[in-house]
Amino acid sequence: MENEINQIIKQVKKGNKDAFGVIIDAYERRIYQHCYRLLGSFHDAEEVTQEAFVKAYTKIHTFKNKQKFSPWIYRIATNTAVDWMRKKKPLYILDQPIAVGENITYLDHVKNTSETPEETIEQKENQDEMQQFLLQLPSKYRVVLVLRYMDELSIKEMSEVLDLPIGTIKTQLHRGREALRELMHGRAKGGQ
Amino acid sequence: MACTHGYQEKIHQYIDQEMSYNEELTFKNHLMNCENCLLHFRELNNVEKQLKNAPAISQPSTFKQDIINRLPKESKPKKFAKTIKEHPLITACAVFLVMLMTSAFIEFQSDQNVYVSNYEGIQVEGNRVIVPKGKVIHGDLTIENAIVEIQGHVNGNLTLVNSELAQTNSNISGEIVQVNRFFKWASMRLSREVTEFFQQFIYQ
Ligand SMILES: [Zn+2]
Ligand SMILES: [Zn+2]
Repeated sequence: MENEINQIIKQVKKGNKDAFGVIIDAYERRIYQHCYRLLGSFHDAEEVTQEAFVKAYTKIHTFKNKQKFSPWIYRIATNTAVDWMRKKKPLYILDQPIAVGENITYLDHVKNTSETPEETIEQKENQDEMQQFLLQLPSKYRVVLVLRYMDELSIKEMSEVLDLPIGTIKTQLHRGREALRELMHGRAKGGQ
Repeated sequence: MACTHGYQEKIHQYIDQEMSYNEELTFKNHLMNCENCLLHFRELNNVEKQLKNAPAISQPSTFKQDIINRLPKESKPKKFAKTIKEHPLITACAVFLVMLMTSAFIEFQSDQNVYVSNYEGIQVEGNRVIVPKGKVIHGDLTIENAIVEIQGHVNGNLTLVNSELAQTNSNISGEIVQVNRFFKWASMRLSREVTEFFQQFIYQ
């Protein structure tokens, strides 16, 4: 798989957009899921996924042919998503739960009873309880947990995505799980 | 009460299956005797399970066409710049060859005039080059763009570039080398230039 992808990338480097279409086919579902898990909004996930692929295309010449492609594309998607969070912060807060352990967001508060299609989507988004917990975590922990459990990357691949040593990835993963445990079980680390 | 035995990190190691068999036994032994760690372990185990069981997110539809429409149009000079960046050595060689061929072709075109490497004792009449009867030419002789008559003697090799031999009395003691086509002429030039080009590096 990775081998074939590297062959296709050689074509992309020559400016072949159809070859890039093959790359999109192979990775867009995974990248979309990754972005949704980081951002918690279908609309934002779509926008960031598209942006990440456009960036990948313009930066394809920085990809070395001996490299593995999936950590490379996850890296671009992660950076794009984190940038997006920073830029969209004021709006993004509306989607965050009001209090730890609650599933009510600021948006739910101001919403009236009539349901627009938009709101149906948001309800669907809220049905996924894990997503609500993830969104309350600091983004560095959210990134490692999503890469490990949703994207199912190995620790080694994660260290390539985030450009951090394996030991650091493990520590971040432990802290991320610990932070999530505190949210889900409402109990401080080691205390009663 | 918090556990004071430093088992917090061990719980993560256990979950990540990074323990040896003996470490695992010690760890499990501790859990049986430490309520706090057991609770901590159960909670973390639950967190891990829920993370793994989170539903896969399916994409509403493909964005392929949208993405392709957003891709920048490439300009040719940029592509060329990229090639240089990626293959500096190959590019240098290609540029060198193109320049060489261009200059060679210009030279070739301006080289349509009759040329004789050594005029001593040789007659040139229009495009005819004649080595008269009784004359002996010492050393190699190169003639370009001419019809050549050897009535005398050449004591060496005769190289004919874009030239033909009108009369052969086999009065040539060396070899006769015929170079008629442009590319042959060019390749002869090329081998000389390339040798010189690399000699620059060798003698530097
Ligand atoms: Zn203890
Ligand atoms: Zn303990």
